[in-house]
Amino acid sequence: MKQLHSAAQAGFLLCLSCGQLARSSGSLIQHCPRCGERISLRKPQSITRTTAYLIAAAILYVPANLLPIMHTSTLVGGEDDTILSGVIVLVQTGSWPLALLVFFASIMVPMLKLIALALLVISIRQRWKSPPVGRLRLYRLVEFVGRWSLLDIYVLTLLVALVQLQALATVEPRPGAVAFGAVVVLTLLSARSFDPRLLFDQPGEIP
Amino acid sequence: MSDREAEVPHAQPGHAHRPPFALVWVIPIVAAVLGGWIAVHSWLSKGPTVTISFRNAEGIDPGKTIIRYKNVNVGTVTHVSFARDGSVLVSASLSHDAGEFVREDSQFWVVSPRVSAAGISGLSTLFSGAYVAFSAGRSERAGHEFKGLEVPPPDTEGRAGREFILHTSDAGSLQVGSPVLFHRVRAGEVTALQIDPDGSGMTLKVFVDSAYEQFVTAAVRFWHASGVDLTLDAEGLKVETQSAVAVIEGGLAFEAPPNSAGAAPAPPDTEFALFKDRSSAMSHPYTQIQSFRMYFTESLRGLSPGAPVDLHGILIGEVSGFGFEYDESAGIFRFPVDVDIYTDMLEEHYIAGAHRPKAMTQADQHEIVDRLVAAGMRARLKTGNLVTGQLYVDLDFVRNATPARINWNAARPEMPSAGGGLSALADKLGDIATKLDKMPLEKISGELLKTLQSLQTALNGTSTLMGHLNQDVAPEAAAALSSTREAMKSLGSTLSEASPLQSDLRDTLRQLSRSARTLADLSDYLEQHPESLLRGKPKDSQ
Repeated sequence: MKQLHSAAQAGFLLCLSCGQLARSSGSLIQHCPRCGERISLRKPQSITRTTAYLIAAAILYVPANLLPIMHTSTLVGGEDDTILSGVIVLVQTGSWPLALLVFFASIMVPMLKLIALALLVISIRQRWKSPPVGRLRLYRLVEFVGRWSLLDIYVLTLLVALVQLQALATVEPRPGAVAFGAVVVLTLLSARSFDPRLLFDQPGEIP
Repeated sequence: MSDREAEVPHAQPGHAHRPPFALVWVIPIVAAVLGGWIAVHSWLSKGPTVTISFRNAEGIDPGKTIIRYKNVNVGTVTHVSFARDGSVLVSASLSHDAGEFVREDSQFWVVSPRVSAAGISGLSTLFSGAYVAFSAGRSERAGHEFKGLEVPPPDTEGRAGREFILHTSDAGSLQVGSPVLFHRVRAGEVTALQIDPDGSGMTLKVFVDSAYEQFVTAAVRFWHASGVDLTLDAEGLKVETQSAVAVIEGGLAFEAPPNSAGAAPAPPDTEFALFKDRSSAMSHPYTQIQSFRMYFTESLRGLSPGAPVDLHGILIGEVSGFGFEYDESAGIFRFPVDVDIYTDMLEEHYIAGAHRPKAMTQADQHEIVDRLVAAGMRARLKTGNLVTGQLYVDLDFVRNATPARINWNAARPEMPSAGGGLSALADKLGDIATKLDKMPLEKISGELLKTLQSLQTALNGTSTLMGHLNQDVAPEAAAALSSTREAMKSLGSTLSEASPLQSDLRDTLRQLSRSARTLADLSDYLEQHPESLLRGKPKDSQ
C-alpha cells in the first residue's frame, strides 16, 4: 500500500469550523456537508494572506514604536511616552521585573513574531528541506504568545479609564497606541492565516 | 477500511468566482499609506532644532524641560552637552508653527523663580520646574544658534510703545529691565544694553510705553537716575534721588528741558545722549554758545571745568577749561580761563521792552555784550563756597573800570577781567591804610593827654570826698541804724499776739460788731414800724 503522507493525498478535507471530515468532490469550491462552511484541502491563499498581514504589521511596527502611545499630564507638566521610554522610566524607577515584562511583551514579542512568521513563509516558499517539526513548534509558540502583546494596550486602556483626575493627572492615548494595537492584531491575523500543514506537504502533493 | 472510507461524506461543491486580486493585499497597502502619511506628517510638522548656550544648565532636564513661547509649550529640550568654551549647549526641538518665531535675534532664557527689587517672577516654576522661554525676533532670517540670557529680558513683545536708542560712556548700574522714569513714574524700561563695537561707549535701547511716548520729544534729555546723586559744587551740597527701585536697581529718567514746549514727539529709534545726572542733562539746554577767554591775575585754585559763570547772580554759562600760556612779547606767563556763555540764555534774560528784536542776530548779541562791557561789566573770580573754596566766574559791573572793548574777530574774544576776591580785599586794606595816614594823630594824642590830666585831678577830688564820707558820715549812719533797730523791736512787741494792744483791739471789734447787730435790729424794727419814729415804741408790744 502506498504510504500516505497526508489526508489530502487520500482526498480528504477537514472542516476547520466543525471538524467534519469530508471526501473531496474535486470541484474548486467545496462546502462542509455538516455545517455548510467552506472547506478546502489547505487554508485558502494561506501564504498570500499571511504575507500580506505580515507586511502590514511590519510597516506599522515602525510608528508603533516611534510615536508616543500615551500622554501623561500632571500638575508638574505633561509628558509623552513611547513604549521604549516607558520601559526606560520603569528601569529608572527600579521596577526591573516590570520593565522586562513590558519590554518582552511589547517590543521583543511582536518583533520575534514578525521574524518567525517571515521565516515560516520563506521556508514554505523556498521549500526548505529541514525537518518541519521545529518550525511547527515555532508556529505554535507564535500563536500562543501572540495575544500577550496586547498587554500594553490593556494597561493603557486601564490607565486612560482610571487616571482621570482632571487637573491633577490625566492619561490620554496617543496615535502610537493605535499603531501598536494594529501591529498586534495584524500579527495575530497573519499567524491565523498560516496553515501549519503546509510545512509537511511534499511538493506536488496538493492539487 | 475502505468501508469506513466510504462512510466519509462527500463535500458539497459550491460556486464562487475567485476574485482576480487577493483582497487581503488591501490591508498592507492601507498600512503603507497610513505609515507613509504618519511619516510625512511628522516630518512636515517637525520644527527647527535650536541650540542655546547657557552658563550653566540649572533646572534643565533633557526630555523634560519644555520650551515655551508666550506660555505655550512649543517644544522640549532634547539633550544637553558642553561647548568647547565650557558653556552648556542646550538643544531643543520646536514645533513647526512655533519655529516660525525663532528668528536670528530671538532671545532665549531660563524661567525660574526670581526675586529682585523690581518684584517676584516665575513663581509657577516652583512646581513645574524651570522652563526655557524665548521671544520672537524681528529678523528676516531664521536662527538656529543662540546665546541664552541669564536674566529674562523685559516683556515688550506685543506691547504698544516706542523704542529709543541712547548713547553713553558709562552704564552705571543700569541693566536690562531697569526702569525708565518720567517725573518719577515708571514709563518704560531698558530692553538692551550693548557695548559699542569700537569699545568707546555703550548703546542702550529703551522701551517707552505708549502712554508716555508722546512725552519723548526730540528735545528731551535722558540721564542716569541710579542711586543717590551727591553734588558738591560752588552752589553747595545737593542730594538728589529718584524712586526707591531706581536707587536700588538703577534706572534712567527723561524730561523735557523747560524751553522745549511744543516739540514734536520723537519717532521710534531716535538716538539720544544719556547724561550722567539731571543737572548736567538740564544744564545744556542752550544751543548757542559763545566762547570767551579771560585772564585773571589770581590763583585759579578751586576753579574747575563746569564751574558756573554768573551775570550778577544769573547763571549764563560755564567754565569750559583753563590753562596757561606764554606771552612772548611781554615775556610773562598768563593764565587764560575759557568760558562758554549761552548767548540764547542771555537773550532770554534780556528784557528791553519794545527795543528787543524778535529774532536776535549774532550782531545783536555782540551789541548787547558790548554795551554790558561799556557799562563796566568785568569778569571776576569769586569764591562760591567758603568751605570748599570752589571758585566761579562772576560777571558784574565794576565802578571806575578801565575802559575796554571786545575784539570780536578773535577765535575766542577776550572778556575784560577785574581783580576780585582776595586782591579786592587787598585794595580795600590799602584804602584803609591811606585813610589812616591822613588822620591828625599827633594833635589827637595832645588833646587826649590834656583830657587825661584833667580826668586825673577830677579823680583825685573824688577820692578826698570818699575819705570825708568814710570818717564823718559812717559813724553817724551806724548810730542811726542801731536806734532804728530798737524802734523796730518795740513795734514788734506792740504788735505781738499777747500784747495789750492786740487784746484791746479785739474787744473793741467785738463791741463794734455787737452794736452793729443792735443797729441792724433797729433798722429792721423801723422798717416794720416806721411810725415808731414819731410815736415811740408802743407799750403794749412789750
